[in-house]
Amino acid sequence: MNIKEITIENFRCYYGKHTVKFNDGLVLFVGDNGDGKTTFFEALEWLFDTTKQNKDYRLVSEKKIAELPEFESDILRVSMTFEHDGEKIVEKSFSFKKQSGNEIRTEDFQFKGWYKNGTERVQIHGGELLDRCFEAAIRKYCLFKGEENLNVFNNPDALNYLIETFSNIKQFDPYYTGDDDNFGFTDFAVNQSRKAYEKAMKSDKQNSQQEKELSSKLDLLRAQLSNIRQRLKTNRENANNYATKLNEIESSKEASSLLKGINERLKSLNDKKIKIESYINEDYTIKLLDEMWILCGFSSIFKEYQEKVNAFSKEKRRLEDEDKKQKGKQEAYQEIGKSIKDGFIPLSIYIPDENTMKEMIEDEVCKVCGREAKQGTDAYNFMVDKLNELLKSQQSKAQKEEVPLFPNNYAKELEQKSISLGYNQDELNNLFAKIREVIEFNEARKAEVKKIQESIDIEEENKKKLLAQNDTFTEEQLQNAYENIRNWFDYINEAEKQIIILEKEGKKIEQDLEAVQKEYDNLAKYSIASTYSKVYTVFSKIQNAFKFAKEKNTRDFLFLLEDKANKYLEKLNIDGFYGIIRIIKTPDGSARIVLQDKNDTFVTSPNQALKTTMYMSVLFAVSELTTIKRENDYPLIFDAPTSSFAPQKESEFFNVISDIKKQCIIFSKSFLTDNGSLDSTKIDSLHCTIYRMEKKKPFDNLDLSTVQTVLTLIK
Amino acid sequence: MTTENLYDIWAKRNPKFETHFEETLLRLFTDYGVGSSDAMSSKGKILGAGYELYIYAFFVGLYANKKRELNGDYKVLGQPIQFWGNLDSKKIRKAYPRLREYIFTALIAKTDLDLIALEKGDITDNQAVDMLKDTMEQYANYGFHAIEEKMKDNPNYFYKNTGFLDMILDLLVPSSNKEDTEIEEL
Repeated sequence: MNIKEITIENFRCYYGKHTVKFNDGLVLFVGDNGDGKTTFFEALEWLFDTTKQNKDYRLVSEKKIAELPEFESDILRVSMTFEHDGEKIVEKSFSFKKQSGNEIRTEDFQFKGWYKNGTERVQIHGGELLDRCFEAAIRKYCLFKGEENLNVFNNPDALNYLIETFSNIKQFDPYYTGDDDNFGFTDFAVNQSRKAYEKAMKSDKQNSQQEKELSSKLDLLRAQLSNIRQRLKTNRENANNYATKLNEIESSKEASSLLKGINERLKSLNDKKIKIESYINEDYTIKLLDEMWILCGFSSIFKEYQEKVNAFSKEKRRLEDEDKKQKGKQEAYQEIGKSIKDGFIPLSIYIPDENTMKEMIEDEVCKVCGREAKQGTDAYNFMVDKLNELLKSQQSKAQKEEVPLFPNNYAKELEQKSISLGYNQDELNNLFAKIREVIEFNEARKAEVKKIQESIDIEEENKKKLLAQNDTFTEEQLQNAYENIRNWFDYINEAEKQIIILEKEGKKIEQDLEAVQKEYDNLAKYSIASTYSKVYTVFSKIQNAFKFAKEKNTRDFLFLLEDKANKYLEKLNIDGFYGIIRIIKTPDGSARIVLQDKNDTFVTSPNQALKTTMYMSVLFAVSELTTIKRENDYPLIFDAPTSSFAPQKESEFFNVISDIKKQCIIFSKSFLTDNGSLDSTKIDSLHCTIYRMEKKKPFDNLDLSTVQTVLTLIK
Repeated sequence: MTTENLYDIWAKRNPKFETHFEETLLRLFTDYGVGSSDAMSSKGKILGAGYELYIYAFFVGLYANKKRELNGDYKVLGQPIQFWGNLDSKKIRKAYPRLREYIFTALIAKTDLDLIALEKGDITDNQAVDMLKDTMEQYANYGFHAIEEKMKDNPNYFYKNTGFLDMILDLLVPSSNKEDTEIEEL
């Protein structure tokens, strides 16, 4: 939709008929306070309202009423000619009549529309035509009054509305909603297949006892989970509502330097608190294992081990020694016994050796004394006996080696452990000191945090008092306002605490549910319900696939919106810091627009001018997206969006907007000099259409019926 | 002659515990029965694998110098001792393989095991390891009961940051100078 022409007739300060022509780009209306900027804006709001018949007599021009003779009537009218697949017109009007006693009666409310069908002009209801060409969803992102209302996402439903209207997720609704009251196909299929599955399980007599137990567990867990989700939803809504209320109050006091000071101090205190908290590590339980703190009492036990191992090793050696001695004695006795028997010390049994002995026996010669020793002689028998003795002695030695006293050598292993672990003895002895050191460090940091928290509390208390302040309040009203604000802070804190607890509980129940469901499914595996179980599983998987696809679509849409918004932000910020826009979807479905720097640090309180450009960038992005999706454009209309801009920045800002190929209508009091006349140098520097709005002179300061706006095309 | 170390034979074992502790303690504080996972904190568990609580319970029994025989049904832990404290996949945790060796030395110290008989082969290595494991199980069993007792007195005891540490320190530090180490709750 592109506005071509707007006519305003007898609407408040627009006495008589005023027609303004528009082009595709930026049209700027410049006027001072009371010159009719907001009235023009409100005339459009009135025209665009398709919901009610508002023919309030207060909309009528005072001057017209004053001039109107008794019992005469006239007409109030706002009409718009626009381009939307051909030229179309909407017109809203009502007539007003002066009764006796100057009473005004309004009647004959009309809302008409015309469009061309070939060459024929067809008339239809204006509201219907407007809703068709400029739907209500889009109008939310079109008209903006003042700087504070630019944040479209202040309205919690706005984001969902936007996503549903302009992303593709609506396509998923027939298949997946995730809403218990409004089933999509997969929700329905999962629900039905689960029922069939559970019915089949119940009919299976074999598992009936177990089935009963498990399904009652499942029912209980599901009920708990649904309860928690409900409570979570309520708490999130509460937190959000009170936060919005506080935000509204805060933004109405934006200019207060006192508030700025408090906010700055709060920010620095909070930053400091977060930093100190990051030093605190109280995972003592984990340290018991990872840092082996659990060994802090181990010294005496390790000593016991060492003593035991030492004693064992010593005893082993003693026994070995004794054993050796014992064996040595036996051998010696044997040798000595022999020598006593023969009266001389014989040669060792090893001399001559085994081979020599065999050779001598074979040759029947004693090569030791050089005499013959034929078989059967004493000498021959002596040699055979000696060889046998030698062989026997060798055999018994081998046998003896096979059976030592200690076949195992665990002593060595235990001694090695004693030595290697013994190196760490000092560390074990120092563990108590180390533990104490860590605890003391953490306690000191906690004390610091506590002190900072006290300062934060004081600042927050001041903030609450400041927010409650209002010049027109009596002492009592002030006290009430303060109580309210304090309560809101408390409600938010309480809701946030609850949210954390509930999220934790919810997660735990989800896990339990999953585990019980697994048990239940296992029970089904070999029963008659097995097929039903498979059908149910398949539908659950399909449902999940839809769920993830829907979430992905939402994410993609937000990324696209962010991306486009950031491009506008870059353009609109002529110089200076501007940051990166992030649109954060909160769990309750609403969204927050925030600024980050490139290190992902949040810019907690951007100045108003930056905030305005940030919101406008999002609005431009929304508008661009809708243009792409709907193949149709619509105008953006702002009343006084740049009040907080430095004068030298405004011209550049407007020039950037006029370069964006987009119909924009902006009402502003910029470009006026101190005495209220146009600043011609600044006007010259702009390259857009400009209308001057002013009160026709002369007029009576105290008489509204003398006030009328005149509109002049400047360039 | 045996070629394997006593420690290695012991480390291949899975110690057992009284079955009811699975529900009342192990699943409460650890990932026991859930399978391995990187982020135990996301599940609200204080410890990681089931054996971590087992180690803790063992030290409680050890420092209290009290054993308790297992009664009724029992189960074994999922992981043999040789894997305790390896934690390879867990980024936020630090491995503590050495702790296993200390536990082993404690078992040698505290088990009435005739080392000479073992060295002589009169007792087999498996019999010896059975005895060590038995000591471990009895200490841990005492520990589990003590933990349960503590929770009966104060269900929140182990949910304080200092809960697990306090119980150990209480067993070790004489009450007169306990003030220094015990932490006041803020």
